[in-house]
Amino acid sequence: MKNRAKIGLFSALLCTLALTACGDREEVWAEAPRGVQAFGLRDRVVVLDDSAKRVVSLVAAADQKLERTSVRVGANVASVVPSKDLEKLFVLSYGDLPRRSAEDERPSLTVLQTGAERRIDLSSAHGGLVADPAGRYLAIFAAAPGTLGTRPPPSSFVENPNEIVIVDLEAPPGKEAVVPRSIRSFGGKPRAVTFTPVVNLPGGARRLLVIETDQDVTLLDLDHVHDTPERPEITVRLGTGSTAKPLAPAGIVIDDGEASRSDDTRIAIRISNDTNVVMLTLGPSAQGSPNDFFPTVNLSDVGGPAQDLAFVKTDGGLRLAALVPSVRAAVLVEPSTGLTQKVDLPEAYSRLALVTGAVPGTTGTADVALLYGATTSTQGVSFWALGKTAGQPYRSLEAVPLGTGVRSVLDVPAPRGDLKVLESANGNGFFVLDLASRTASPLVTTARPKLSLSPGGERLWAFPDGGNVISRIDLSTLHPVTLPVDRQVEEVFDVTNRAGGSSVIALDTRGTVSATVLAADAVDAIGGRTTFGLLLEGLP
Amino acid sequence: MKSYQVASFAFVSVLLASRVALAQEPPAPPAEAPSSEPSLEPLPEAPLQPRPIGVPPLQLRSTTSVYAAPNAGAESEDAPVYTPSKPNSYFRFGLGARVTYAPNAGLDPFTESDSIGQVSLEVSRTLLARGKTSLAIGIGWDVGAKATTARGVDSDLTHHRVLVPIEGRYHFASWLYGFGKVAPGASLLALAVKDASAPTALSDLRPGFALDASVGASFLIIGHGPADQKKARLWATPEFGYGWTTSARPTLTTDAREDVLGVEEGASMNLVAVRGGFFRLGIGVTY
Repeated sequence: MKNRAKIGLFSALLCTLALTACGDREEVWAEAPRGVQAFGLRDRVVVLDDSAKRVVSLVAAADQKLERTSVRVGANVASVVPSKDLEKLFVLSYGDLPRRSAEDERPSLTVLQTGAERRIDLSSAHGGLVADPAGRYLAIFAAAPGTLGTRPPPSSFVENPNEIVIVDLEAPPGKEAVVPRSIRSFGGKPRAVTFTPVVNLPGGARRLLVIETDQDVTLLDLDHVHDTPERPEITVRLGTGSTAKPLAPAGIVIDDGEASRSDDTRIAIRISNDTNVVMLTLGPSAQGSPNDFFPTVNLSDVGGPAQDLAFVKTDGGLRLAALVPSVRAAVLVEPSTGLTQKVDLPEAYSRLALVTGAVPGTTGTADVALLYGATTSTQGVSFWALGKTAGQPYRSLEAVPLGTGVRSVLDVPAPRGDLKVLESANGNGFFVLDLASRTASPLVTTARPKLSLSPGGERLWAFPDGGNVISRIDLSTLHPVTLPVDRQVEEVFDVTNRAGGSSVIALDTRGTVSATVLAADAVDAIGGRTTFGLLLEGLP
Repeated sequence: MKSYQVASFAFVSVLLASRVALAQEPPAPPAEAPSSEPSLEPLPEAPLQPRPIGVPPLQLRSTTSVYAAPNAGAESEDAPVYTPSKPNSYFRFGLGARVTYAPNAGLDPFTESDSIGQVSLEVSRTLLARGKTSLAIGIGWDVGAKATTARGVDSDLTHHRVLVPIEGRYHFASWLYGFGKVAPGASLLALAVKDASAPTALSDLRPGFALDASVGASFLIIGHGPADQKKARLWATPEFGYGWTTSARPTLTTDAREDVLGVEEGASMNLVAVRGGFFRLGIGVTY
């Protein structure tokens, strides 16, 4: 009997032990950080920690200490986009797909800015996010699979590809900030959206949202997006008329025309699968039309698929400049008549950037364009003086041979807007192009560098991806200073610190992420501070 | 079921099996004696005599000695064969397994569950023994470790408690005593993660104050005999209680090394405290 009692006692103890030994930790600890990405804002760096449904904001103090703040965002981040002024960060989340319980999150948009966060719930999940350069609107849409910057959804779900969700961050009182619109579909799916600047239309000053699908273009009046009944969008189906083949838009540019006129706003569309460019002229609409503007369509054959477009001021007036590398030429299109003028180029340039304001001596009546290309066959850049196109187009080009192609061009912010940083295609360095003197100073590296500019344009940071040094180049003297860093460096951001000075934050995004903070003008790394385990902090 | 739970179950099973096996052996004569009152009074005129060789000893399961009166022809048969000592007073050497249920968010990076298993070592000495009660004091050491991953990087935890148990006992029978224990002491928590973005493991040591309060019972397994007989005895001891430590906020930093550029700062973690109910199952040897 005693033995039975003892067995009973031991069994009770064992059961108690088994029961009390239960208890799970928070799920986040079992998940490795996935898709860690860092984004530089003006005064901080924001690290996305998607598996923990948060971002970690890193602010440098005056003594290079790192202040860390964790901010919750929606589950399963789809896109992260900083605002153009680098004051805000927009985080679009798919939410929990599919929702199985009331605790599962809905799709959402989180707006992060200094000292405040705003969470906006959405009714449908989409992956594409584009921010209005003017800061008022956001467009959320179904991004095509593989779209740069868009993460795939966590699971398959039904998505209406023709739904565009417009978020008005400055919605008038009584109006919803979120306006979902389903655009008419002729079989196409949205590929890109563009917010236009304010343009002068027959109905007044307007901002438009231009939606490019894989076969048409849709115009939506943003200033009347809250109207009831809603103003329908205008869809322009693209085709040559000679064949049934749809034309695939690949980019647009817009020009407001003369300030005194309201019927000469033009949208030019380059086509990826055709030699034509499409010009839409926005004039008055027919009486009774729900919209107060209407596009007139013109096609101009530029001899090959255009790789870049820009409206430019020439000595002959406004032109649409199209770069056609397949024929090693630029083509100027007269917008009213569609007449074209071909300008042969020394290289097959594929990119064009207007640098008029940065070049001294320009009159303002004619633009100067910088031509560069991504292909290694291009051996440099050229300045294209558009004030000489009418009579002597062959004399309008001034080549700056670099001995290598140009992979990308970085615009140096004001007040050093007269400089451009050209990343060489061969990966052996980069060039600092002075638009005023039209000189290109080479800076040689031993490995393909990653480049990062300071917001004030004073400095350029160059570093090998995954290396353990960062180099600062003073853009006024082009003097490089190399700073060793104890950790592997994958991202570098030049930010304004708490004291109003500048600090540089170098991130090692492996594991749980470490960050090294240095004074931006440091001459060595002795005064730096490295903080480890950033993604271990601030969790429940 | 966790490994420590399996181990605990096996441990308990072995103890039970051994106890049952012992119970099934032929009982040592005579049968259990009353625990406190002797059934026979020692005769004052009969001095204790050593038992002759070859005569089986008198075995009684009692906390007090039973002295048989010598008589003619059998005087050496009932005589005690040991020098009696103070009953219920002994040294105890204990070894056990302890599981603490400590639900604390600060421990989450280092353990997947809220429980921490530890090995317990303890030595104590009876200071006072009066009747069925006694008081003992000693020193104990609990140590346990856990390892897991925290956000994809290896992490581990080692927890030490060095305690001074003050234990009051009540001896219900020669084979059973219950106890209540208070054990103040020190706690040391060692935490570490091995992060790819750090040059060494990130770690921290957090000392603190610890206090245990518990109750339990000890069951005699081997070594039945008079309580005042000085001999080694083996006990099984289950114990319940609550353990408490002061809280601390660990900062996981790199190991000290040469040629460090600038200043290195660690990750500031959540507050850590190992507080919660615990269960300990041990064996003890008394002498």
